Amino acid sequence: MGKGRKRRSLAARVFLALVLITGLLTVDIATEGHMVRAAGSEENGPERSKKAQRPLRVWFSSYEQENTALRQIAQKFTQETGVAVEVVSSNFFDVSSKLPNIAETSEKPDIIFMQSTDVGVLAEAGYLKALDFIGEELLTQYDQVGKEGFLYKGNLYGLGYSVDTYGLLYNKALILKPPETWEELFSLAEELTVTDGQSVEQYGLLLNAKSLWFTYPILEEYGGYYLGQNADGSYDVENLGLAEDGMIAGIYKLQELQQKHMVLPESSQSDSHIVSTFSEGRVAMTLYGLWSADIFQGKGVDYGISELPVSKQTGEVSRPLSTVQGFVINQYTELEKEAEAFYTYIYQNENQQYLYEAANGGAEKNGMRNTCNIHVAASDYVASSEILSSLYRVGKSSQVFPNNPEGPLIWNYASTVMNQIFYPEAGQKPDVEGKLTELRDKIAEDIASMHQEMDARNEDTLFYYALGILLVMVLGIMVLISMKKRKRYPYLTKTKKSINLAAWFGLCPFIMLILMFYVYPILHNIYLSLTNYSSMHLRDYEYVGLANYWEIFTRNFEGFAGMFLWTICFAVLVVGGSFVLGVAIAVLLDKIQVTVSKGYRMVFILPWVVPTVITLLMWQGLLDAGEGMVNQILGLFHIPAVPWLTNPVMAKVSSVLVMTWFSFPYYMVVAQGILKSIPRDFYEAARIDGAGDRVCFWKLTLPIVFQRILPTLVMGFIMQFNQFGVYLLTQGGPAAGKLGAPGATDLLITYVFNTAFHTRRYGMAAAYAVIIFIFVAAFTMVSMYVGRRAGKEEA
Amino acid sequence: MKKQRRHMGTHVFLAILAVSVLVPFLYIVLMAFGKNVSGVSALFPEEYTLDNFRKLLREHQFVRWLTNSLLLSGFTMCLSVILTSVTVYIMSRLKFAGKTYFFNGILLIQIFPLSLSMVSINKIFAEMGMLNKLWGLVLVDSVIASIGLVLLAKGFFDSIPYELDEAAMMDGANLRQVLWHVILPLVKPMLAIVAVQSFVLSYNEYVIASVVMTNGFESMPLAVGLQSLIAGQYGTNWGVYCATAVIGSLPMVILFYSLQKYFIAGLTEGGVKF
Repeated sequence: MGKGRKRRSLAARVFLALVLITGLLTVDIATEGHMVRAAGSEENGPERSKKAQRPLRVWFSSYEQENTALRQIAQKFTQETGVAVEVVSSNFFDVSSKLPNIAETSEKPDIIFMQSTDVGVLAEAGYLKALDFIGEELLTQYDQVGKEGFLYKGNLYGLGYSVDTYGLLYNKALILKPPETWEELFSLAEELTVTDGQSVEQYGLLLNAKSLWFTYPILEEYGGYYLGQNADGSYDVENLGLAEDGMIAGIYKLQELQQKHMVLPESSQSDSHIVSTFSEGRVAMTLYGLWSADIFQGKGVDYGISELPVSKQTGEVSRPLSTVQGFVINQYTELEKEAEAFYTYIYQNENQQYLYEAANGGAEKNGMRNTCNIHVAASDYVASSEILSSLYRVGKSSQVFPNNPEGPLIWNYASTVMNQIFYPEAGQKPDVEGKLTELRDKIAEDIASMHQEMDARNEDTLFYYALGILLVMVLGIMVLISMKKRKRYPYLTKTKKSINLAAWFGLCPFIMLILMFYVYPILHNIYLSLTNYSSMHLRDYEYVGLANYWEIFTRNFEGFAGMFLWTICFAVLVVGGSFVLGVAIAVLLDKIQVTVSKGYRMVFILPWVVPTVITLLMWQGLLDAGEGMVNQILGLFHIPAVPWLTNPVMAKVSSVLVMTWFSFPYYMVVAQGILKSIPRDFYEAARIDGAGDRVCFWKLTLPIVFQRILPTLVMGFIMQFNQFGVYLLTQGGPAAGKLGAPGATDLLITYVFNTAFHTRRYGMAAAYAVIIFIFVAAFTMVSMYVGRRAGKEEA
Repeated sequence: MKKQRRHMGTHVFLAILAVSVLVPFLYIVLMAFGKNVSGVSALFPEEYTLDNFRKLLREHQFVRWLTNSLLLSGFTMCLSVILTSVTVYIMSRLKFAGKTYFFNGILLIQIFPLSLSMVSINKIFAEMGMLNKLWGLVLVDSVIASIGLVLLAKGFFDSIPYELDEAAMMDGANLRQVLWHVILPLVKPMLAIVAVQSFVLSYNEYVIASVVMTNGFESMPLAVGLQSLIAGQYGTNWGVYCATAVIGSLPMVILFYSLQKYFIAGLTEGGVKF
């Protein structure tokens, strides 16, 4: 007893300490300024207190040195004009998803740093302001590529600050002078490739054939293209060149290179493998950028980057794909004049120079950013560095990836198709033409789906009836349940009315919060599911009735039934597996010494303690087919490598195992407690009847624990339907044979999430959410009903 | 003799399991000390260094993230404990009109896949002026935590005999006094669970925080910041990621192991009951 008290007080002390720490931190933060106040606002303190307008807000980069540089520029600007500027660090990959939610709120940014790929979506919805205030003189300071990226439907929305692209990355120890033509490159690569029969010791050229982004110039050399272009430079989404002869010829060429060991040997390998092999000095040439330059430097590889070889088609250097990053102005800013003034200020040559130098690490000149300002490019800073000047030439020669809303659709499927073409299952010959045609058709279908205009349908009445009947059923079941449940409460010393009042009064805060964060979002979500809210209608969405639901139910779902079954199997296996494992461990821990078992428990509890985001990523690395630790350990015992995440069946097994690994500690802890409460005579009686350990476990322990734990299990089962963890592990893959069909480890919710967000049809996503909710809610109510009845019979 | 052999089997089984649990964590720690780590799939780093930790403290807003997360989780923990204990006390002790509907309602409502309706969440945040506000996140995290924990806690509260309340009422205590002086001291293990689970939830919560905190990296909680290291612009610096993961896990590990005794008792006697 005394011991227990002591422990309790220890825990209480820890708790108190935590509260204290929290309090101290609060004070700390309070004195330093509120945590969510952006850095930079400190400098603007005085301006703010004068009750002038709010500062201009700029969303910029994830590089602190770059942000600092822009803050210094902003300070100068403030001194000159009196307009305060706040620079907020941001990740430009998030802009297309974040801006529509924020653009019209009080937290809106006025100037945003973004990438060209998202320009179409945001301009189409009217979030971007056309740069009609910029003078010709300023525009002439910038390369064509910097303008091309922000030109959409005849309007210029931004200017390039940096061109992100790749070139011919080569190892100077192996390549003295980069080859002039593609033919030269291929033959040079062949000479430099060193193999010893089985493995490749040195790659003359190493390509990631799965990544269309990097192989595109080669495919283009043979006549392949993705989107056709109209005479005015805009993209023709009707003209998809993915299955044309040129593309097929390009793929054949890549297959030929694959035969000659110039393509990553394993399907599971990706860019990071190219980086590590290159940094070991085993790659002569590859098509890549300078994103991992610090690793090359760390390993001491002397690398260079150059423009791609000259194309036979055009007689000029081949053009790598690129994205351009630059600033745009929020259409909904009320500080229009100030935003325009600061915008022009940023793009002054000297400020571009300042930003560029800061971004490239000053003297480091690491090539993190690649200017498209002619004046900066001609400066000593660039000219004195071979890397920076050749990177500039590469960027200038590049072609900007289509910035229309349809452009990025290809990335949803390209790597899947390329994987099937270059890494077919053993013994099979890939049908290049068929696969490419499938890719083209799927993208065409998605484009059509993106553009589809929905009207409220007449058939809807039927659905309204169905919905009505469902609602009535739900209500009926609830009434039934509540009628069946009558429990006496012992003390009712007060009058019933005042108890009622007190109860609801006490529940008020909780109910308010539920209304805010559950009921309102659910209702709003239901409303959205009845609209055509999508990337094409981000602002002007309107009521379309049940069109989304209609489409979901009438759509031809390839493999939907299979995935649905798998979702249920998955939930059963994970919950069942972690239950059995948890109980088994609890039983074993019960048998051994208390001190030892405590130590074990501390270990077993770990998966529950450490944030899942971290451990899931680690599992991904551990289970990697090529170099993962698990396979390397198996290799020590001469067991051949297991394709844990790349084989459909193994991926299913792995996802169940990993998710079980995550959830067993909880059941173990619960079971440990329950075990303590089972009377010992149960076991003694069983032993007298001749039952062994195993029999005792299966016939006695498990059923008793099961009964006590059942509601928890049911809740666990239900929550598996909202499970996104698997997606972090496998991304739903390996992909199914048919494009767009659910992958082997896709669960209901991840598949739905993907299909709706690939084509950015958020109204559709909302409709899916409602359907999943109704399905799981129905299941819950049934199990609740059954559970309660079982409980009553027992009592 | 036979018994000992059987125990050998137990130990071997447990040891293998323990290794399979420990290895991934060990792996993260090794990577955190690795030099030039280019991917998660290499077996062991070739060289060991403290560079990643230095880089983390120097270049990234790690201290900010950790502070934000601790503040967020600390406040969420306090608020959840209050919300849950009051709500469950009322649900367990009072008979009031609409009680069953309320119980069923919160059971069903928490099933809704909020991750599919971030647009709606964002809208309510914008309308309430909670964008970029820590307290907004605290509110939403505590309600998400409490709505799940209410079910778990109710079983525990129900197991405390009504006679205790009655006795206190006889002595003239009102409802608040009964809760404060009679019930709460008895449900401490359950409160420990609520505290730990709500802390864990808000510490891990990523989706909502990443949508509603737009005011720069320094305003992010750790989970979002961690993600930004992977989804960064130029490849992932795995070494720094792992270093962040190691330090970032420490608060949770400390909290868990210090409250272990408590919440294990709570889980044993409580449990979801429909």
